[in-house]
Amino acid sequence: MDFLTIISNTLGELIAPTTAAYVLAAIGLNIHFGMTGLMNMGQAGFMLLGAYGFAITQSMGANLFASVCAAVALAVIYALLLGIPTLKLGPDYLAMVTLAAAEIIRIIGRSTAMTKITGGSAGISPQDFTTQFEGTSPLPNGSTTFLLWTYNNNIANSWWLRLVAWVLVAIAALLCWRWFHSPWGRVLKGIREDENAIRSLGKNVTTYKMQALILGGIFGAFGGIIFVLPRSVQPDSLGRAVTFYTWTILLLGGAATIFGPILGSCLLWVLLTFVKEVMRGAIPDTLISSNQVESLGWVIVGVALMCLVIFRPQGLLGDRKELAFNA
Amino acid sequence: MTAVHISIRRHRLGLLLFTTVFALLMALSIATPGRALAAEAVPTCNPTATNGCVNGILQDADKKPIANVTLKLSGKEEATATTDAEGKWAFSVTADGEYTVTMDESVAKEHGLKAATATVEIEKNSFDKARQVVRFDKPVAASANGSGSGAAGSDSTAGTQSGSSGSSGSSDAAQTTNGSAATANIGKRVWQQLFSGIIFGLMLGLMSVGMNLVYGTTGLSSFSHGEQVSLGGLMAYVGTQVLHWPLIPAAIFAVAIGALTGWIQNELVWAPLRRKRVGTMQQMIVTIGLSMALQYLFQFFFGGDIKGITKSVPASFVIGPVTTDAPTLISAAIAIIVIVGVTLFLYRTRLGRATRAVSDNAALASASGINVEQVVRIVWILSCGMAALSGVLLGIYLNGISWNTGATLLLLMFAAVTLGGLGTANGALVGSLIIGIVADMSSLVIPNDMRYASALAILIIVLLVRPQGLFGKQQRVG
Repeated sequence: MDFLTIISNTLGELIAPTTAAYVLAAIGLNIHFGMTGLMNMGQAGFMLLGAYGFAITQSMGANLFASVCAAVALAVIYALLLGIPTLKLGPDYLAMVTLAAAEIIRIIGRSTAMTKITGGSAGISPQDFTTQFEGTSPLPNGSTTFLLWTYNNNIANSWWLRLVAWVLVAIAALLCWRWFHSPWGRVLKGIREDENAIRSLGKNVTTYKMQALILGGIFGAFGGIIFVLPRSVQPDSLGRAVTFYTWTILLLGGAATIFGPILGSCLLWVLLTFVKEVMRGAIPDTLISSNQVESLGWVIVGVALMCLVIFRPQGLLGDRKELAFNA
Repeated sequence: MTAVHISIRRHRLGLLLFTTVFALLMALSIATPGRALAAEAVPTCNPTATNGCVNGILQDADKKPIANVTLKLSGKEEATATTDAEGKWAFSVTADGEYTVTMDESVAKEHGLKAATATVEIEKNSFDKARQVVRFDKPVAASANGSGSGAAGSDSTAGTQSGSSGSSGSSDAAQTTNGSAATANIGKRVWQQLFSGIIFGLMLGLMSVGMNLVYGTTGLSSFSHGEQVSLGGLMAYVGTQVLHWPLIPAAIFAVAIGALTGWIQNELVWAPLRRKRVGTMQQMIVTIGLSMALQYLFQFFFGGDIKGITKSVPASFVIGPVTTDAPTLISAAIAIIVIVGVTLFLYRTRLGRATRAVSDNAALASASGINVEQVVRIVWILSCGMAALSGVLLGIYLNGISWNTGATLLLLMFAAVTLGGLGTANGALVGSLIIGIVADMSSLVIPNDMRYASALAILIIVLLVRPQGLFGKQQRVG
């Protein structure tokens, strides 16, 4: 067992683009759930739409800005379509509809009938949509070693992608901080605590909820773009499991906090990778195969989610009084 | 109190009786090996955590591409592909194991290839075995490692492969018929799809009635109900294939284990949470965690492939316009008997009435002397037992069950429950039948792999038009 490899792999997760992608998705979910109390069980749907919007327009030759706009537009339209029928209904209904809608997007995306557009279940290969993004990099070609980590500067899982991803995270966190403390954010918190009270104050609750749903969805779409840039657009890799991961991250860090999603994502991925790496190193392959270690990692996440919600629903940073769970 | 206790005992006897009846019925059933259908031909294939690739470029001895050759994939999964103008072909497969690619002997000879078949081994999570390039230019089947360019980071999700296992064999077969033939027997296909839709709806009914009972009595939408279904099927697999029991004891064993897990999880998790007055939304997220943990625990123990409960092939026969086989009919009969039994239990027995009372208003039921905790315990046991039974029946009907079969059906259960009306037991059955029929019939007009999407679209439309569902009481929701 090589400790240095384990440690560098583990800490590599701290700055990995995937970690940042999950932070963005969790920030979006935080606006939905932490601020407004909306049970969005389909954040992966927003991510997948964002990824498709970006990758498909890129492969058709649009410029980078237009592609990002397309991704955002798709997320906004999707949020409107979801929100109009369900925001007036109870939280159960929103949860089920978002879950079902995310699944519909994935099923349609992976269908063989859509192969021409989405690439079916095989997805869209990275060379079709990452070249423009890699081309915008100001960094010189080659690879750079920084402390423990060596990555290529520009290509695939690169330093450039890491830079962009974490700058996005910083912007998102800053925006959230502004919003949380704005009058608008206070109305959202009011809706979370008591919808009827806010309605009695003459606020249009449904409109506020819709705004929250759209904003959170846009962050989800950005998360989706960052998620697919170091790999290919695979509908099955943005399934229900991603939503559940995002929930675990949000609840681990603490809902309704600014740094909760960031802390949650870094902590979850670092710990999970560490546990998996140690298991791979310590347990002989004949006893537990590499596949099984992967499954065990998931079991740990599942159990962690259960324990979190039961024993510490406010997460690490949250305030118990600010719980978004309505009884 | 005492009256309820007595009727519970009576009910337990009833359950026992039921299980014996299923057992007897199942004695007649013989079923089939895994005719897995998850493989598909794709233009280009990128291996991921959920699929592997068997691909290659067909060239003749002079390295010129050979177009329009039909290649057959066999082994763990089956599919056919045709080479394109550049000789390229690819299969995306989901199960680990050995695959054989075959072409017509005469084609191989014509182009001077040394072999017409080649065998490769796919292992999704192994970096160099997730993609296998097949060559026909060596006499012995040989394989070369591909570049694996699409094999993204190992942190990509290993979950949610869908639509691969939860389908009815007959409809898939029907789907492959080509245009002219399809129009000729379109009537026949309608009947066949209707039939398989009803069968599927009945199995879905078994699951969603139980789920709805839990929702009615506790207000909890259980995301881990799908795993209870997988558990049933996998336990039946353990019974028949690992312990080498006959099918009936294995099925009883599976249902018993399912019911036991229902009781245990109620005692260990849900009852304490209810006592602590943890909100139902919070409990729902706990079920999500439980669902993830259970699902991957299954994958840990049983691996990622489809497990066949029985290995023999049943003889199919024709009734009127539909083709079917004995195990399918027996499974459907068992499903109907159980659902009728549960309905009788709910409307004719004292405990059933108590259950409905708790569904209506738990506080009021408690005030009128009903032991709510007792009722909820029975509901959990009943619901998980039914889920396990449906897992067994589904495993026999679909020729196998895998670690995530239940998870792929979870949303259809939600759709069925919402369509029928949250908390209404019979509504769930009607909802399930509608969802089952729509899902299978819709493959007549939309591509087969999109048919679950149509069922989920129904869910959304119902919520738009009639949020309380078909049988739900008109009330303010929200």
